[in-house]
Amino acid sequence: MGVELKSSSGSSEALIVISGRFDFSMNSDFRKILTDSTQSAKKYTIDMGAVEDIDSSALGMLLLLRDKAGGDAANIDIVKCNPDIVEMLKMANFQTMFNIK
Amino acid sequence: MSQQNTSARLAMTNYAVITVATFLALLFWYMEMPNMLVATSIAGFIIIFRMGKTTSSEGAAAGTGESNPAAEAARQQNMLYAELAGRLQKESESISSETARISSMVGEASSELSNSFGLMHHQSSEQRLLVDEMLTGKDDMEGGGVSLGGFIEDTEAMMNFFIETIINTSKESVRLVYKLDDLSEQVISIETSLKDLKFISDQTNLLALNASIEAARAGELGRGFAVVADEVRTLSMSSCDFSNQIHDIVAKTAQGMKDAREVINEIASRDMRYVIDAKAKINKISAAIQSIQEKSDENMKKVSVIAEDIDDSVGVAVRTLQFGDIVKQLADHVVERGNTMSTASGMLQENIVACSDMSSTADLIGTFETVNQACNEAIQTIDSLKDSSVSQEKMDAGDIDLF
Repeated sequence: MGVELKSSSGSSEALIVISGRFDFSMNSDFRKILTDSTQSAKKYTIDMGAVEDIDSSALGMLLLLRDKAGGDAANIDIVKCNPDIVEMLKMANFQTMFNIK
Repeated sequence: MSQQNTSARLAMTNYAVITVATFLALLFWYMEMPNMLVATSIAGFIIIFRMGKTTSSEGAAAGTGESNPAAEAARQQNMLYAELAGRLQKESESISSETARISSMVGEASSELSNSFGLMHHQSSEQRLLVDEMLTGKDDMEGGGVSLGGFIEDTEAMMNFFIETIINTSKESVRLVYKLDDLSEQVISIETSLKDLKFISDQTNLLALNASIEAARAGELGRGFAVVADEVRTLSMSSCDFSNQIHDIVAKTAQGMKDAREVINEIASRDMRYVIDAKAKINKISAAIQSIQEKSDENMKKVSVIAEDIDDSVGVAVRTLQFGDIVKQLADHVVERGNTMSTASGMLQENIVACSDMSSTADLIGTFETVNQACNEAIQTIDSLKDSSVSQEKMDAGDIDLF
């Protein structure tokens, strides 16, 4: 259970890998990502392959990331979600704010 | 002929006399006048005898006629003519009466059908009005801002709003927690400062103690200084108390912030599955309502078209009923013809029967003349029928006046 930030050696792309239950308890780990260096990252990729479940706080945290990454100008991919999670993202209209793959 | 008259007159006279005689006989019998009774009886018998003679004389006269074969043949022929004429009359009457029945039946049926179609037209018009009302009623509803489609859109918008609110609340809650974390750090630094403060006040206490000892050693001169030292000690002790108090407050604050974090956790953690199910259900219902609406519109339009078709069909039917008038007219004419033929045949029969008696060649020719005359009369009667045929032979296409 955790949030890991892997950025490809100082480039403008950042990879965030989340695993386990993505919920409120992850907020302090997630903060590290938000406050971390990657101000320069122009593109983020969030790997949800190992995520079992999300709730509304996870969606809130994703929005906070988006705000930090430039709001409407942000370029964020959310990849490898299981079908339930994709449905939740769609229902929350996240496909208009993130690239869901 | 004259012989007929004579014999007829004779017969009448005989009848009259017999009647009188019988009456008198009864009278005399009643009055008990036997002589007169006998006399009248004898008179009666004589008259009856004479009647017999008259009949036989008539028979004799007829006998002379029977011996004439031409007359006999003519007589038989005339009988046949009479019979034929009689049959014709009967048939003509039948034709008239049956045709009259046709006429009245057609008239009744036409009138009933007319009423029925008139009613159908009326009902069909009502139906069309209702359908039009429904269609325009729906437009009014939409014009007034209340429509099914609008309702569905509003519901979906509401759902989206609630979902957005939930997620935003979660997002702000996370931000709030981060702020709390920042506050926590402030609290920790207060604790650290408190520790320093405690150290300082402990040190101050120690120093004040030292100062008191030195003051005591200085004796009289140190007395003032000893007082000051004591004051300083008191101050440092209350400083210690205060920092303990602050420590308690800070501990409570920390606990409060911990509790706040738990509450925020609650707020921020909303299970989205329930919301997904709800939204999915609403989408399904919306789609169903929409398709029902479309189907209903389609059907209403179809009903409207059908109502128009019904009107057209009823119009055709009413128009076709005109046949009733024509048929009645024709039938009435047939009845008239039948009646005329019946009259003519009847006359013919009467005239022929009237001349079935003949006894001599002269009468035979007379008979032929009579029969010819009768036939001419019949022909004239038939010709006198006004030749007024029904002018309209076909149904005209055209507009119908509906009732």
